[in-house]
Amino acid sequence: MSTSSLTGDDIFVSLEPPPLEEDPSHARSFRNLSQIIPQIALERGSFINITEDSLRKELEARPSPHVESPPDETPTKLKQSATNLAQFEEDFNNARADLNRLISAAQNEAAISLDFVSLLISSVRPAAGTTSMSPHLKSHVPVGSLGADRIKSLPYVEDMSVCLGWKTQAVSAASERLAKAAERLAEEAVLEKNYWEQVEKIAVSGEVLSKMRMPDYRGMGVRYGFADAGSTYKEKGIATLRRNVEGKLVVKTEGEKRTKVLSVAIMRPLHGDYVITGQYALKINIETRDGKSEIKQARDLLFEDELFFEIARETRILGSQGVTLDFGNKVMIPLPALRIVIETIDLEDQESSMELDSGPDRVIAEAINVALHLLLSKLHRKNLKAGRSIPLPLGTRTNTPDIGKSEILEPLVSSLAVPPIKDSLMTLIMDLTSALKEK
Amino acid sequence: MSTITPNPIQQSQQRIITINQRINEAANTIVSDYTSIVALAPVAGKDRTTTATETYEIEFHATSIVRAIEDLLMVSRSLKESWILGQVASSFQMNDERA
Repeated sequence: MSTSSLTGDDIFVSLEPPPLEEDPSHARSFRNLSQIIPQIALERGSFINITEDSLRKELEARPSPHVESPPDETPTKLKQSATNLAQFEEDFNNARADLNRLISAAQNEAAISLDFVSLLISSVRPAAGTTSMSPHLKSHVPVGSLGADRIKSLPYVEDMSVCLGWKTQAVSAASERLAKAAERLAEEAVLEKNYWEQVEKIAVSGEVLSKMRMPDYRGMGVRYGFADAGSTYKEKGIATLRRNVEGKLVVKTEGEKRTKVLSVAIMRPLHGDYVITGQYALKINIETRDGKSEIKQARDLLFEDELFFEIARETRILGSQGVTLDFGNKVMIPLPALRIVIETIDLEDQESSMELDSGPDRVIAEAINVALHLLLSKLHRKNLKAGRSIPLPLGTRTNTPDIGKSEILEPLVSSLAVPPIKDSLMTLIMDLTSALKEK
Repeated sequence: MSTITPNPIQQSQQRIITINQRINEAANTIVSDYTSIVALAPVAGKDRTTTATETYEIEFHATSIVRAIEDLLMVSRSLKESWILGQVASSFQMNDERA
């Protein structure tokens, strides 16, 4: 028998190896404290009445444990029991520490509850409360600051009329909203139908439509320019087909609407000064009833614009022939017998130029005007062909780029200027030959 | 390669699928929102807070129905665009060819 130094109690340790843990009589190992405590509480009611003395008395009352050792006690069994003892000691220490911890926690909780209750009491009976309050609480919370009372709770009855009112309001508002939306959308559907009918009319007449995907507009667009015909003008030639508020189709071109038309005027010298003897400009209908006519007008005006642009550009090339550009918008072509003035006039001024319709050179002016238009179309076709042809291999040395050929003015000028020169040359040669023949 | 240069048949099939999806979605939205409104209508056994919340829920569902219908309008518009651009086989195109 050995005495351990764990507690003041004597612990009886037998030299027999302690039984295995499956032995039900030693189910109370110290390893699962959380099971032991409820068991003990169940057996004895609570820990309140347990003291050291009562436990000791209980132990003494119990029959003493079996201390006979078997005759042949081997050293190995002793060693086994020693290791088991160490294990046992360790378990016991752990259990004791756990118990201490739990007990102090319980004490803490009890102290807090005491403080709470004493604070409540101190509002009614200050003397009784302050004595049981802890000094920490007394310093932080004034005495009597927490009170409690009993109230009689009334059964809460909700007023249904308010709820009914709100609900009816909500539902009627919803129905009104739907009705209004239905009206609006029905109108919208009719407007859309009209719009698409107009678009169909335009499409049937052979225009090229496309779906526009611009940042601010997504809808139908129409190409009214001449890019497909070979024009290389800077203008894009695409117009958007929008629907205005009344549901009418509006053709909107990029930038401002064009209004200028090309006019060709013939001037002959009269009494030393030049006088307009004939003028011709394309008559374009200002009134546009529907999309088709608007597109046609846009197209025609674009053509006129491009034509004048080309002519103005070519005046530079033909500078050596005497062609000049005055004020940036009047092209003067001086010929031996007459002077051709090409300029752009506004559509609204068409009426004012009517009086010149009867001039004697009107036919010439008209012919020149028409010829210029045809020459521009010829230029378009040439560009188209050049675009379609196989390009030269890379690295081919090109001639130094010149300012380009004059496609429109040059044929005109040459065809008008050459015959007189030819005539004068012929007469000169005829004179010479006749003079030489005479010899 | 067919993804880079979409052929018209695939394109139109894709369009059909998309349009059908949109129509179905819109129709379902309309029906479910209307059902929600009707479900939210009764007032029995609810307190003020719940009723107030439900007021706004009803408004929300009504707006959602209107939006679904506008979506259907957009579907019809895109159909018309495809029709006009000749991506839909129709008598309109055949008239054009005859002309």
